[in-house]
Amino acid sequence: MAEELKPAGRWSPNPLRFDGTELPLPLLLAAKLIIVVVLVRLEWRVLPNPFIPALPILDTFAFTPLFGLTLKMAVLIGSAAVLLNYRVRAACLIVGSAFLLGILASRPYFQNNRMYVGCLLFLLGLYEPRTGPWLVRIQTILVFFAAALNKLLDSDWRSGQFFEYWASVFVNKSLYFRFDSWMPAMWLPRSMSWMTITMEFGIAFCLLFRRSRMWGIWLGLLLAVGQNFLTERNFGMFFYVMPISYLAFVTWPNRSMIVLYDGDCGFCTRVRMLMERFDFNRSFVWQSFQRSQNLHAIVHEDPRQLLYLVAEHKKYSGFAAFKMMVLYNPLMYFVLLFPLLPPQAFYFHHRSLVGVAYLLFFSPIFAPAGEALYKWIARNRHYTFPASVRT
Amino acid sequence: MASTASVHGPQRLRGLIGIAFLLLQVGTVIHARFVGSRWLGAWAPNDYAVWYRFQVSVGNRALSSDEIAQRYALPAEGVYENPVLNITDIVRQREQTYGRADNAQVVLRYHRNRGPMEEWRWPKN
Repeated sequence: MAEELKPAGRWSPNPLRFDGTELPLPLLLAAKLIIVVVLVRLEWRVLPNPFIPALPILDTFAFTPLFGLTLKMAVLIGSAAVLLNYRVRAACLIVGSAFLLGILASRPYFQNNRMYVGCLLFLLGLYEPRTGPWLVRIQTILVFFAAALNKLLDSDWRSGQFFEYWASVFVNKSLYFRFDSWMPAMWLPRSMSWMTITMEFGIAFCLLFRRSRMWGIWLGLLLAVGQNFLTERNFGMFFYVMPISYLAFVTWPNRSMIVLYDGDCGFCTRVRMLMERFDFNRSFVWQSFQRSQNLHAIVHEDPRQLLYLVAEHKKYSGFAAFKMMVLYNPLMYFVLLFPLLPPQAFYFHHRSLVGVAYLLFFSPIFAPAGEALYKWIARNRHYTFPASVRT
Repeated sequence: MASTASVHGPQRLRGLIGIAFLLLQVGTVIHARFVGSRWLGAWAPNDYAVWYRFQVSVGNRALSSDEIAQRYALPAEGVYENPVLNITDIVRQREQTYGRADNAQVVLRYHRNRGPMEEWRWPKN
């Protein structure tokens, strides 16, 4: 039987545990991923002392290094608390407030991506079950709506003039310029401008409604990866943090999920042992279909051919089940994030290809190839490991 | 009853602070429609491309690029992805506060999206 995922009731300092805190799993996962971005990209180091502040009263602390030092300490201590599951809500509030205070303390320090990080963490700190994830959701929707509106009301965006100049400075793909030269003058920049405006409005509206939410997330990912591919820029932390914030829009199963597998297959048992080792939240209950009491209306012989995942009322099989197991394992988000964090030079200025690969892997485009690969492995699994490997 | 109120009080307060925080941003987005700058929650991320170059002199001595960068925490020349009014806000505030006694002469040449070259000066004549 699937067990209800309950708070552990005991503090666990394991950064890879996501239960037993004041935040539900997807929001805690989002908070930890944002914190990892802040720490690894050394954003905490540039938190400023008051200098040309947006809030003049902060000039009282001008030229006082203690102010910036306090902000840095607040971010580091708060980050440690979030990662170690200690009073996560208060810790998010502290880190978010430190970023917002830094922005108020120095106009030159202001960047939209820092503001967004500050807002997200601040609102995660204000989470309560009654409002659910809606504070964070509205924040994300507001950013897209306001950004799209600002572009729509700007004549240089509508005419493509902005994009034409911006591309000349920031786009680093020669293919873009070659394509531009084949088209009538301003056709490509104008198309790119309108595509961006439409996508941003589309993301805002799709994220608003439950039925279209998945479209909104896909559009958002496409926009982030597309911009990154064209320019090889991260737009500060936006490239990381915007996709992370979509975790506030996903529905995470409340109960542990059941994985039905072929218990007579050595390879499947090895996979089970490996996956269980990295399932720190005990999200998956593996059941050999031969011994399972409840097959959840799956035809008895089917799990012999394919792996099945039963997540609340939904069933997935084969490659789709494997993909969903990856997506429902919080650890995998860190595995996906870390390769994107090193400097561009590490990738010979082609880091965006990693993002493109992720997007393709999880997109329906790759599904037929993934399914074929899965079936090939499934067909040959009995040759890989003897059936005697059982636990 | 008292314990229920004490449990719900902080919860309600958190919710109210969150809503007020978001409404403040909505106000900033609306306000941005009537002004040229884009600060804080106006949410116009990377929506602008302003090429600019500073010339600054203090007491008849022209400042070097490094000195300019230190003075305004902005490069002396570059492409800025916020409106040019954000730059002029920074210069104006710097010169009206910490730099008041310097009588700095600032010339900011810039163009938006390869448009005509424009000039902004401090102090205003």
